[in-house]
Amino acid sequence: MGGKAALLLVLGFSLIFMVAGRNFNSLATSTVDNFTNYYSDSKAHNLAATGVNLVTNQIFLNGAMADQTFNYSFDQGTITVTLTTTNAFQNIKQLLSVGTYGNVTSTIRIILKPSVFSKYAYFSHSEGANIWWTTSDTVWGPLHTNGQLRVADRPVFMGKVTLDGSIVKYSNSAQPQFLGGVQTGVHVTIPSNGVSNVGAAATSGGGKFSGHSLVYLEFRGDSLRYKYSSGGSWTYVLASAFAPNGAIFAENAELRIKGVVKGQYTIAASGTGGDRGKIYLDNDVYYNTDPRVDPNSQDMLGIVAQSLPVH
Amino acid sequence: MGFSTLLDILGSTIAGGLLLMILMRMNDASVENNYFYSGERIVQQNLVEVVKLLEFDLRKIGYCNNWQLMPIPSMAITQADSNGITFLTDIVTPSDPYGDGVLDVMHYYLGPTSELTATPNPYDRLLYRVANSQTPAGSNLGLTQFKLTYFDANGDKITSMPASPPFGIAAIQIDISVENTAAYGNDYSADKRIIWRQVRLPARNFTLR
Repeated sequence: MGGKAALLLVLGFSLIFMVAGRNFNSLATSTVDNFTNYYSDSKAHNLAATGVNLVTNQIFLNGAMADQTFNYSFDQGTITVTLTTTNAFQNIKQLLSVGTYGNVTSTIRIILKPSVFSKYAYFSHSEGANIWWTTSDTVWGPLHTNGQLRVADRPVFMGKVTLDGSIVKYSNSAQPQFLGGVQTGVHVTIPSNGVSNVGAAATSGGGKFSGHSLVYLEFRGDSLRYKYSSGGSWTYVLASAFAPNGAIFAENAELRIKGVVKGQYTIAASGTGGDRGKIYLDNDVYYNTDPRVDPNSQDMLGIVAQSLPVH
Repeated sequence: MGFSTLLDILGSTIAGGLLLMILMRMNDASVENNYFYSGERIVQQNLVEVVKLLEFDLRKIGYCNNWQLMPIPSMAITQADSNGITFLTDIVTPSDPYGDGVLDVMHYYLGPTSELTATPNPYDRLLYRVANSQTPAGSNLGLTQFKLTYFDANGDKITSMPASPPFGIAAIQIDISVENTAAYGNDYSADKRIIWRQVRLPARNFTLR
């Protein structure tokens, strides 16, 4: 009887410990599973980010790359990147990168748009040796220089700063404030064919003045008006109908402008001799929505003159 | 004989008592282990859930499905301090996996310990995730620390923020610690705490334009 009891006692305890041990093992396994899931999620996301990096590099090398799908096997996972042109005129492309690791997928979608020269608040090819940005100097937009950027004390750069050279500090106490970020190793070539580009865009889908040596143009929000002499009568047009793509070109003419700009336009004047190719600001030219008040303002005006300066 | 019997009873009582104490100790140890393991699992699960949510949301600082609504990405962070952050984003939903193209305001901040006096843990707090003008609501995941550290484009720690955006933030370091809200034996010592640090989570939308 005593032997049986001892046997039952041993078996009973063994059973209890087995159940408890299984429970502990299950908890431990569950904890590992938890972090494994996080690892899988992170890895899938990193794979998707890798796909973006791989394809954006190819686009950087070949900006005219056709829409297509890229497939990669990388680091025990797979990557599928789909390149799609969403706006052929503005050359806006979308990259949809899907990283898969195990049964976990992560998707990153990015929009790529060619950078434009007009975005810079300040641009220089070279800063020379004597330009020092210092306290009380503030640039309220993107800045680029193809040379070195010399800073002293505490200049403030509100937009992103890009430069091809390096940042030269006047002393160790220089504390430039790059509030929009800074990136070195960026070279931007100054466009040399701005006038002809605007002319081509205006011919294909914008507004073009030709056969007149003088053009008066006034922006009036949603509409425009123009005339060809000081005492001439105005012709009124809907801006979106006159220049659907926003390019307005005065061929071999002097262009005089004023008014309220609503939307995005680039105006240009070509020609040489006299005042041809020059653009005069006859009165205030301002945006319908002030971007300083409303950062979401979409209003923008670019002025390109063949004969400098713009007056 | 009578004395021998008494001695037997006494001896067996002592031996039985010892066995009983061993059994009770074993039971206690078993319960403690059970609480410890399951508590640790819960804490780790809470941590992973918080981290996944934070990573997902903070990656989208400055993101909007209609990208033209975010013309200056560096202005996307509208408020930032060590305990909280407010930023512009485009919240995704199952019906709008890329967002609805309308700018949203997201605010993360850590509540005070006084809000959770009902829990045995004296240090846990609510982490609030407030979208737009919703009523602040949070779930108690045992967070005891949510600390944000900001770095500028030079990689230097930002010690004083400008009064208004842009703040010059190029990267964010997030420190989180999670504890059991009701630990066994009310043991909330440092070795029972799980700490996670995302070193310099890059807010990529800041620097892309």
